[in-house]
Amino acid sequence: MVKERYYLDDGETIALNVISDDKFKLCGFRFVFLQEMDGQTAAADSLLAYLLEDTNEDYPDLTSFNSRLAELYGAEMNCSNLRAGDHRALTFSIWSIAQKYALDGEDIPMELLKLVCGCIFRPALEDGVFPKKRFDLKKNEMIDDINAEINDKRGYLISLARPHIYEGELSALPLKGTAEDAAKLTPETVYAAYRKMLTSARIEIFCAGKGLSDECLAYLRRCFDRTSPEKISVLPSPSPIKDKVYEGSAELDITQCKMAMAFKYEGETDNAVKRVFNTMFCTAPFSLLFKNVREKLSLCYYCSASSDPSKNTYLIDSGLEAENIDAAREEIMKQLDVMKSGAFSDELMEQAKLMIDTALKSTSDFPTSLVYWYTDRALEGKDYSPADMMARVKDVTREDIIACANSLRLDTVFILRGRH
Amino acid sequence: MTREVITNERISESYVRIKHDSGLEILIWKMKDFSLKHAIFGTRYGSVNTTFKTADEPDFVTVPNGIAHYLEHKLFENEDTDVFDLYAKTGAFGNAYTSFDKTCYLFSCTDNFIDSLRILLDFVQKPYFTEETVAKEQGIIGQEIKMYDDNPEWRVFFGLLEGIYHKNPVRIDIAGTVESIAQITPELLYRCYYTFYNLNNMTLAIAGDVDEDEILALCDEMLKPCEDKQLLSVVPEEPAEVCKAYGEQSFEVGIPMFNLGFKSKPVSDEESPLVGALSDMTLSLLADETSPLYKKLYDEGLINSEFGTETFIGNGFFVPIIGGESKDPVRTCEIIKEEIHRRKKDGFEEQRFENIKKAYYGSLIRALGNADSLATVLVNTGLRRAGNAFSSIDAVAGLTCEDIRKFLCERFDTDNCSLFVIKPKSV
Repeated sequence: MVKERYYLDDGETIALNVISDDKFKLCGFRFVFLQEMDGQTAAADSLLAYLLEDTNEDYPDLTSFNSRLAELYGAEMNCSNLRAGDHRALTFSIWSIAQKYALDGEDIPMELLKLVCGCIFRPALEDGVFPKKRFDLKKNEMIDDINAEINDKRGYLISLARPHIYEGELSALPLKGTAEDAAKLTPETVYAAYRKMLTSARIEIFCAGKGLSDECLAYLRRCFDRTSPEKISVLPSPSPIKDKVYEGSAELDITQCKMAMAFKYEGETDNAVKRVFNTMFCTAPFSLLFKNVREKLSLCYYCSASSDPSKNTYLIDSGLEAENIDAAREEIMKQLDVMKSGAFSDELMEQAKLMIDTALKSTSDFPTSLVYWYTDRALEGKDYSPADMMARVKDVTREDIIACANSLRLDTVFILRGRH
Repeated sequence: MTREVITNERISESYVRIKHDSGLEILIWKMKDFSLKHAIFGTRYGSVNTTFKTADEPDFVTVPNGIAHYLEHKLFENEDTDVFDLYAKTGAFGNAYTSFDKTCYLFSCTDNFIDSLRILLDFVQKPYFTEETVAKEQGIIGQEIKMYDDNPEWRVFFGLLEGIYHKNPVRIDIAGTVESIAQITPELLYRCYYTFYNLNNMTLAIAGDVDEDEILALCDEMLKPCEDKQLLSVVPEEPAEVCKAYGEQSFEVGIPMFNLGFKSKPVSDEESPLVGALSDMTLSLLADETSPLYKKLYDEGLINSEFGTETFIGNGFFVPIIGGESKDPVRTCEIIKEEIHRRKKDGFEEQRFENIKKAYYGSLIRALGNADSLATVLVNTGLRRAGNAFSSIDAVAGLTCEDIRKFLCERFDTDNCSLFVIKPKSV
């Protein structure tokens, strides 16, 4: 696998990342537009993900656009609206089969590039803005999605806990705004958000496959003809630790309760250390929480953890019976004490490193995984490979893990309870 | 032992099929220069196999629902150690799943492949159940069942199956119920184990940059030869008509969800790749994003991007399903049925058919792109006991637009379908 990275503009706001390997059976592109979260425009910025995903000037309706995707061997086009710390990342991805499997000899990478760039740079417009009828449909779809967030109870728990975990910060904002914000949007306000995205966002482009042809590169350069805006850096903005743990809860008609425990790291900890710690503590089948809270004591059905490196937060969420909430929380803290005191085996740490090694090596098999990996690196501002990360993981010591555990402070606990 | 190389000229890919002396079928797909290696050890035993007999037994026996899934959980515990602890030493990710018609044990790794394969072959062939360990699992699986009870997607799916089928066990949750799993004993688990975990009833599928000779040497050492017991598993005779044309449930959801399914006769293992491909393509032509039906429903604000289709197919069941979220599921389904009537008469557009055929080919190629999806293709092929991993690719290549119209006429009976709706509690 070969990875190259360079800029398409003098201001270094448009980066091109090319990931090449002959063994890939897929090829594709991903464009990431990065902007700071803004409560005033959250709904408008989010609606762009709906409006730009499935039409463009060449294929102005859903039917013709999707027919083109089908023609390109069922190419998959996806526009995502994601959080990256206090920033929003609007991503446009398109994937299809590798050139060698094309039955009719068409230039698959070039055709994919034309289609996705059409969506980004030449959307279907009417009188200079998004067509009203389609706009209203997409707006209603987003409102439906906002209202449907309650369907996924696990995600809903996090959305309820978020304003308390990140009180007063940009990360506290709902990603899509509220249904009320969305209802007020007009084609004009959203078109203004679109222009702002094109002219001021930091852009990361990823190409994965056999390589990027000169024709594709020339096409890309023609697309990005803009004056470089001020460079956006995504420096970590650690979330402040509360003096007193926030305790909150909500009720729903559910049979199984959910609990979120948000911790924050005090000081700086290397991401390699955090990864080893997390594998030992929570995410592996041999981790302390899985072994003790779930398997040994049967206090929960699942117990998982996720991190937001740029916010320095570490979130544990679990599904459990109402009568086990206190015991589960106590046991999670007890197991954290085990990590803090260093009363864990060397074997546990070695197994965690081995598991991470497997995950990192397998990243190189998938063009999509490599694109996700390098997107995270671009947002982190550090360009290193999975192999580089593995070298750092190997160097993690017992003392590093103990220090990492001791830097964690419980910040917020939020519980979703059943009504009965 | 017999060895055969299965090649497909159309896409220039091949894999190896071995019938081992122990009775086990072994399928190996070599993926040069890939890091990840994936192995799946599967048996033709799922939640629907509750009534069965072997040649040694005079009568059929019926066991509690959820026992196949329960057995899967318990097999991970050896007498002296936990399987996850063993995988942890090799760096492999181990897992397992039970579906309606199969149970599979799997692992992924990049290094120490043979050591990990040794763990897999060992624990799946070494059952250990006691009163104490069986009782402990009831709590964990009970919680798993409750977690799915809170999942509206799961409920809308089983609500539909309860409407389609009267007696077929496919209408019951794979994990069973809290009541049914309470009846499970070590004796029942052993009985099911020795019936269904006979190597003649199983497949080992491997994909990755692996050494075939090393694999076979390990299999020679580890596999315990099994006599083919002529296993027979039956499902109760099912009436041709749906059980209920309509059902609903209230739930904590934002907008109503629905599933519309068409009752259709089950398919044999031989028919499965062709019927599966025909069903997928028919559903795409009828209702995918390029269809006039989708456009009409979308433009009228009746559906959103959650709208989609699924072919529910396996050993003893087949249901084409259309579903999603809608403010008015009943009206949406009326329009779908009207479109089916029209298409039965007029057929589909030739150009759309060609595009969807290309898209379907693309989806089959994508499944060959990595070790885990490739091993899944292989194990499904092996457990089907018919055709090969390229059967679907070949089946699609020969289809015509008229084949699709005929299939629609035969398999989408609008007078024999069922609709299940999840309604928001506040409505």
